[in-house]
Amino acid sequence: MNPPKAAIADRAELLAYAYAMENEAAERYQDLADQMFACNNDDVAELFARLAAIEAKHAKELVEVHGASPAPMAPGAYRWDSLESPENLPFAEMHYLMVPHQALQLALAAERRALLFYRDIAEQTDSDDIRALASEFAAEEAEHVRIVEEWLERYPPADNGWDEDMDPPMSH
Amino acid sequence: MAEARQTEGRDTLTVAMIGSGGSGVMTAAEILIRAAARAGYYGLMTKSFGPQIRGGEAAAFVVLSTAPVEAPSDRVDLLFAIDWQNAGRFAGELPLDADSLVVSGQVDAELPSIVTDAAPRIAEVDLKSLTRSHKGTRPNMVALGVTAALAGLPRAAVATLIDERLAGKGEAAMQQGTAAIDLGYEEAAAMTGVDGLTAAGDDGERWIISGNQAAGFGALRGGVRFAAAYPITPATEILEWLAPRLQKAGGLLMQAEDELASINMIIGGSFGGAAVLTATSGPGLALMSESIGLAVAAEIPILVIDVMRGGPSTGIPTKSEQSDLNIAVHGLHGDAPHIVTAPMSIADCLFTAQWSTHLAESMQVPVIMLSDQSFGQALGVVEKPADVAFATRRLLAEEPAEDYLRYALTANGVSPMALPGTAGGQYTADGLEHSQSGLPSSMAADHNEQLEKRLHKVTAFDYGDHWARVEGGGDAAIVTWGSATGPVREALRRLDPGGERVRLIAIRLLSPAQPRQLAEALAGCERIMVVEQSQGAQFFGHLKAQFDLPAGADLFSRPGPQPFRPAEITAMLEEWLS
Amino acid sequence: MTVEAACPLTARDYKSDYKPVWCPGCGDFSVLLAITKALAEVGRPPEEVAVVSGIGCSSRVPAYTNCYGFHGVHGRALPLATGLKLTRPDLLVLAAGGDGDGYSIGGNHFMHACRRNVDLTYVVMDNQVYGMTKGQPSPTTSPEWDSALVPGGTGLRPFHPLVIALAAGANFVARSFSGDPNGTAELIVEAIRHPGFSLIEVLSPCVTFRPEEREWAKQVHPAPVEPTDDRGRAARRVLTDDGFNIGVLYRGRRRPYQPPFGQAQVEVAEFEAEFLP
Ligand SMILES: Cc1ncc(C[n+]2csc(CCOP(=O)(O)OP(=O)(O)O)c2C)c(N)n1
Ligand code: SF4
Repeated sequence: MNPPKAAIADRAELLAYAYAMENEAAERYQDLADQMFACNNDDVAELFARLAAIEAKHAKELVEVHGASPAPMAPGAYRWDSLESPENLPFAEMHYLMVPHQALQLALAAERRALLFYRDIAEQTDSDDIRALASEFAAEEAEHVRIVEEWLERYPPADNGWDEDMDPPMSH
Repeated sequence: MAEARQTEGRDTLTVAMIGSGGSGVMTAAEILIRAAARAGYYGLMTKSFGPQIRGGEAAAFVVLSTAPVEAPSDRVDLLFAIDWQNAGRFAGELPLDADSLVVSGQVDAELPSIVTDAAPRIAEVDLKSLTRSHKGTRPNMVALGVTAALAGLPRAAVATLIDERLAGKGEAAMQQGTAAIDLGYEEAAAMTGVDGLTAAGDDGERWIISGNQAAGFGALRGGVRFAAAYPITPATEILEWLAPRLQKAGGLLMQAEDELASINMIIGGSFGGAAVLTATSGPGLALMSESIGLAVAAEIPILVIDVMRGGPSTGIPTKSEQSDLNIAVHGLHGDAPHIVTAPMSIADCLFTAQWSTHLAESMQVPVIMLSDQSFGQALGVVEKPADVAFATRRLLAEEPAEDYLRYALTANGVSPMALPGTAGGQYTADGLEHSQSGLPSSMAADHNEQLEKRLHKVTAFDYGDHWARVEGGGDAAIVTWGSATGPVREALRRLDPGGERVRLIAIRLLSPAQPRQLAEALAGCERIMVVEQSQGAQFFGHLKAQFDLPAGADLFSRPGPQPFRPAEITAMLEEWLS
Repeated sequence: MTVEAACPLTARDYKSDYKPVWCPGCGDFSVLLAITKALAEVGRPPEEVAVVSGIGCSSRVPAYTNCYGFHGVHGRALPLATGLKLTRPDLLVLAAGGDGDGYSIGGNHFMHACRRNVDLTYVVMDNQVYGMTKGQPSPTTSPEWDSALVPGGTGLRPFHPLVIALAAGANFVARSFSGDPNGTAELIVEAIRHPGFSLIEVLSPCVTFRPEEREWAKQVHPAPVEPTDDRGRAARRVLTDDGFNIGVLYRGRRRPYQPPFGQAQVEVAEFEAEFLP
């Protein structure tokens, strides 16, 4: 999995990456919200839903303000540093009993990855145009990081035994 | 040239031909019945074998008659034995008596006790020396000549068939074939002891067809174009008949890896829009039952033909029994309304298969058709079956609306089905209980609604007169089904030729039960006799439980493997009616 | 909205509004995403795609897509998909399910589907356990894995689906990991485009009954060698690798099985002649 930064050739490609990242993050947060609603973890579900809304707004702006194309590239055309786009919370990190603090920590990590992604591009590119745009996006991610950090302070960390379930799993 | 002897004549003649080790009795018997059909007779041919795959002893039984033949006969008028090896195994299937003529194809052979005990008339034909002195002639063809001559069949009818069969093998073979027939006709000229048939009437076109072919053809007529199956006796002939013909008709038969696969393959094909079938026998039906339940729940039309054989387990694969009725009617898990039909004659295999396809497609429901070995593997000469054109059409959602629901509640319980490829109709067919949309639901309201819908569509359907065959009048009635019908009809023809004393009710639609129709058919009857072929009186139990069979009905039931013969039923009825 | 109207389909267009019932953390969420991404990339409209499954957590996939779906009975997805594809070659038919569904109760169909080589794509979410019935060993479970139903473990050698697929004649064999939905999507796209029967074995953790499978994320790695079209070589490789090689392992050249369907040469009435005596 090669770092893509140097490969960003032009504005259109940066926009394609940016749109994919924001849009996937929006969809992912929404999926995670749905998952948490489905297992009655409403607190975490609501947080994810709010994050989904923020990311969706960002994706929309990319299209409307910057003219990004919402058409996805082929799944294999993206070369992220990670298995998925950096701003995605991996499905595998979820737990139905997780508390908001844990969810927000994961979100914080994701937002930081996104920030880093843009910052690296800005630092490594030779193109003024790309640098300007990437820096702008990095600033927005920094704002997201700040929001999540602020939310984090409102929630206590998980207790010991947070994942203990008195009931056995259901079988179907 | 010798012609058949013209004598007083008889209306019906039963011939048995036996032999072993590839002696060719089956081929000879098949030519015999075909020649008789061409001469305008009706007929029925059944077979019996030893367990060997090749070279075993074999017997062919051919009933020829001026009237439709519905049952094996009570006695054998003429037995031709090409040889006597292991003939004792056919004890019970060869009812000979003092009036029978037995022709031995071997001179001075030691006759088995099944012959000597009956003390029939005996004649001999020295097949060995005859065929040796006439180069290229075959013993079974000489035997055919003898038999056809004694039966009173015109020589030309047999000779033409021989020519047609051997045309591919050249002029010499054709000449040798007819020479063998001539030898047989000459030998027969000297024999006495059996009267030939009277001339056949000229009452319309005949078909020569087996029950399995008829079932296959009926399904084809009904629109079936995809079949998947796993071979099993005695259903395989349906599949082997269908396979090349489906190809020509733009369809396909897939040999599956097992019955679990075949039933699911046809469910897949039907989901895609094809009319489909599988054919099997008891063991295969048992394997399929889970997925037939799926087709009930997902409302997928399928036709499953079960050609019944002796059971349980591997049972008696080459003999008939009516013992899969319980599993066909009750073998599905859950409350699973489906259709069970049964043909009542070889020709009716055609009608019932076509009708069953029609029912499946019209109601989007599985139909199990219970044929049996005695139809499937028997060859009948029958009146040309009528072509009943059902307006068979699956109700489709061709342009689904925005709020399309696959399992929408409708007045008759049948909902428009969207086929893959139809934009806007996407749904997931599911064996899980579902709501009207098809999405899984374990809510009581959805379960009740969908159960009710699936039951309603099969109970509210108008089956018309096809649910049964009802004939005759009087205050006694026989209720029967499937292959028991033929022997019962023959017995009634003997006892009550005018049809004034006894009614016959042969049920074609076993499930859903039609109690109201049965009650109407039985109106005014004081005595009822149920006839069926199973140890456990499965039909009787079903009639009592589902058809409101009046209390006090009598029962005549026994298992296979021996088919019912008219005399057995006649004797029983005589006593019952007296 | 003109921008969107001109847009090709996205993964979202292949997803239904029906919400999955899987446990948060389950690998199957990623596989569903990979499937929808792959379908978007292939670009056939959802109504021309059919997703067929059996029973199990993983077999819940069809209703979560916006395609035609069939959620049949346990173990029989492949024959059902086969019947559909044979009669409707115009459709893109994808089968999906679990290791219990596909390799245990459906094991015979698995072999014969490989052998038959109908143009199907089969996505198996292998979690080495029966998830839906609360954690019993499946044919791919390691011998020592302890469970309520088989205390002390099965003691049995796990079944090797990839080698069996190769031996039975599958035309495309790949392994992927659910944690990599993009990579999995890529493999599914290639499998769909590859003619004949394609197997994609996705290592998809069951976080409820096999929480230790979360570690798979650290164990998987890209296959160190190029795919081969040599069945024997592919089989040797997968028999000797660590079970965590990800990527296309085999690309075969067998022609798919698709007898003609739907082109009648004769009218059914013509068969009547053969019943004349
Ligand atoms: C005939 C039948 N037997 C048993 C079951 C119960 N059952 C449902 S799912 C399942 C196993 C599923 O395991 P797998 O296919 O690996 O899927 P997973 O749930 O792990 O995704 C079993 C045994 C059933 N539905 N039908
Ligand atoms: S039980 Fe396991 S396989 Fe099933 S949904 Fe939960 S994590 Fe997934």
